[in-house]
Amino acid sequence: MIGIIAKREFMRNLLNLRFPSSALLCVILTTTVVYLRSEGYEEELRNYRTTIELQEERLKYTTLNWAPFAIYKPPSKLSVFFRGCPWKEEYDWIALGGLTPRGDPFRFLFAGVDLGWVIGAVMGLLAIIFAHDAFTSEREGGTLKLMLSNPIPRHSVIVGKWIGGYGSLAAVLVISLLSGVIVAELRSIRMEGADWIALGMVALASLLVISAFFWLAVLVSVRARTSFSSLLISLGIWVASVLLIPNLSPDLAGILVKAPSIEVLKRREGAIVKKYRGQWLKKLQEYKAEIRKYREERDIEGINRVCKELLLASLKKDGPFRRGQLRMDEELGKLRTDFNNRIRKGVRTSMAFSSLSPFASFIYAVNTLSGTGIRSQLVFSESAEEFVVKFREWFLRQSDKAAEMVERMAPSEIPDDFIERPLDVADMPRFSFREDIGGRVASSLVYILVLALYNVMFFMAAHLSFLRCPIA
Amino acid sequence: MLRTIVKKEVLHSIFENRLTVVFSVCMVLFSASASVRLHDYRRRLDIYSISSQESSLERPEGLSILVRGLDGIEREYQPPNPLFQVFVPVDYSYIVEVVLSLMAVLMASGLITGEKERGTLRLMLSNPVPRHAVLLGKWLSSSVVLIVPFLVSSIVYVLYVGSAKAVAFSREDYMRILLIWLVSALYMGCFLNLGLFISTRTHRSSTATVLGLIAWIVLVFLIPNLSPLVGKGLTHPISDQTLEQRRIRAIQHEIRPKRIKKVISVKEYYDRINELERRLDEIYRNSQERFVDVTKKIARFSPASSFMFAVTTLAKTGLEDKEAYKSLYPREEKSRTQISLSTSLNRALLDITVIAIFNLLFFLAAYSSFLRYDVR
Repeated sequence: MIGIIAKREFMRNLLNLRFPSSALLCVILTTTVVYLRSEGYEEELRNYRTTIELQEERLKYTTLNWAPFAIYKPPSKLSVFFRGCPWKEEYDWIALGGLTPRGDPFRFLFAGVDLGWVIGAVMGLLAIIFAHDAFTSEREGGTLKLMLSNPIPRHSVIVGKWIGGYGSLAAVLVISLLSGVIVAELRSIRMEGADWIALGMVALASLLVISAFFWLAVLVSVRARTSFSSLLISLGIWVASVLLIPNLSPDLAGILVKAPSIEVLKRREGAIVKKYRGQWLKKLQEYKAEIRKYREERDIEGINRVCKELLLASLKKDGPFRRGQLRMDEELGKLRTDFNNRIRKGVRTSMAFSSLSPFASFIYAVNTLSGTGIRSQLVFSESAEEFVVKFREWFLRQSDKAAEMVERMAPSEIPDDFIERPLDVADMPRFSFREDIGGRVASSLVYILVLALYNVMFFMAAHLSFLRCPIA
Repeated sequence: MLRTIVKKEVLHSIFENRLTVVFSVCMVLFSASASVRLHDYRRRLDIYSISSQESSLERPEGLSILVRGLDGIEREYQPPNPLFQVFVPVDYSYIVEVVLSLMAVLMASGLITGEKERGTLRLMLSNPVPRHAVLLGKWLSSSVVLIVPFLVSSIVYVLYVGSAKAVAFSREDYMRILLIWLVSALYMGCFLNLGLFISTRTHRSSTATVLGLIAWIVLVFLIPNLSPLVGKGLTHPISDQTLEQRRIRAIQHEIRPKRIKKVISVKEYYDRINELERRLDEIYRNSQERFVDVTKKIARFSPASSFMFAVTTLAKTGLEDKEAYKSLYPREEKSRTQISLSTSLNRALLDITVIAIFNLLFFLAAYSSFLRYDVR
């Protein structure tokens, strides 16, 4: 019996204007979005390569006095489908300087459209359009009474309607996803094994989010009196779920969890740096006073000896400069950890708020899977921190080597530009970043589970309502 | 006759709870938005007050509570929660641009088809009622149902925001808010006319609603969001990275070797670097100007983009008002506080005209369609 109802529902959708128009709309949207985003990805990739080249050129000028390092995230291949959070600019600003981000100003005016939006918002809306009259139209036409006067269990009716209606929507989704992938392939975005796994999981999350909206509309349709009121209520829930809850959640979390500002962090960091720099400058003044004294006495040997001592003080492991530096790094590290923990608390709170919306859970899932989301940012930050530790160790080794050399030299042999000489950067650690697919899939599972829960909840509610609803 | 139709339609909206729904949605959204945007404004003010004297941070614009635009895009003002970059903030302009336009389309798409389905359209037109009176009556009543709750809730919004200690709106600011309201009403009218047009082209409410939703998605989301991508594809604006690469290469391979070989003096060396930077800045400026111009032209195919451009300009948070993008407008070197209302209005005039043209076009299309509409 379920099969007959499902077939009837499927054919009703297929022969109606809404199936071809929805399929056409979704395919046009997907192909346009993927085509245009792939151009953006190519540009990002070009910019990333240019930045790395620039960095390699900068490295030639690494000295004991100036050792630059760069931490950049390569654009994710799947960003042609999902925008995620374009947070990488933070690092670009550090490299290029400047107070205000330059480039495309429209990204601050318009939200940005990606495949996540097409699937979560547009197809979610289509699910509502497909399902809002599942029961109201039967009730209005009197066919519900007719159908239930036959020996058909009510659960067969509701499940049959879901299979038929959702089946046609799933067909639209599969066609759209395939067209998106074909466009990406035609644009020479070559997917690898991990990307295919991520896309498979994206397809699963997409099926779940559309199903959640479908069940929601079925639930409303069971409870509403007319198709129009069912559509209005479902649309109201869609507006709240897609346009309001996710967008308001970071603001609400900001009110509840007092988030520290970057400006305050910068000032605190500045105060710590100033404190240790002050100590070092004081020490430097003592050396300078000694040099002045020898200069007045015209004691060249004395000057050279103090210069050597000064150099060793700044290069040696147990020298005052390195000791101070270590303490300073420790304090700065504590400050940053505290700052990051508070940000994470804010992120968790906003995510908890936004999990009231299936759309938000879906966006978190696909962004995580595509390596463009918050998880990717956190993993990247951790890799960056690890790299900084490695880089520091390398730099300290160079410093130790230089200290040993200085110790072996007679004071008069030390050249004036000793610390300005370019270092050998052949063994300098280089930053590279790759997010493993296992971690991405594991992290996305929690959001996929939330979506599955929504499905179960809405199904149960729709089923219970249908069991008790009047059929007349 | 017109009065009777308007009265009937308004009463119909009241009895069908349509007015209540619009009013509740407006009140809830505007109150939530006022509260969170005010909190964000206070946060930015705190940052501004603690930022060091030498910092060139711009003071947050009071009207950015209503229309964020490009205000607060500086790194210092950015909230550290990265989720702010995933979702857009819900301010006054967002509510009008997205939510109220959707309500306008939904309300209007059932105006003619609903009457037809109930059979009352045939009945109505069997009386000596001119068709333009029916259409105008329905348009006027829907406008009242949409505009009255919008006005009441946005007045409450502005009074709540204006009474906050941190915000000191001047008389000119209130004039700007008044203009923003007028543009908002014009914008909502545009979607009302679009819904009405769709309603006159279809015979079933459900078909009209689906078509209305598709049109709304295209106009509110698709065109504005895709226009920068199309603009980039057409103009290929130069990136910061490419610019930096050119700068470093020119210095390393052209200017520096000459200084090392002592072909040029130190002064000449720095003059050449300054000249190079000036030239590169000009290249960047021209490329950005071309990109912004082309993108704006494409985006204006949607009233939603024109609305956004107009209200951000009126709230002094638009592209032309932002210090960082001022290089695109070299003749406008004034600071934001000195931008007069007439200057803003002149800048926004083109976009207001575009919205008015959309209004007219949709209404005329609806009118001509309704004259030939089969009421049976």
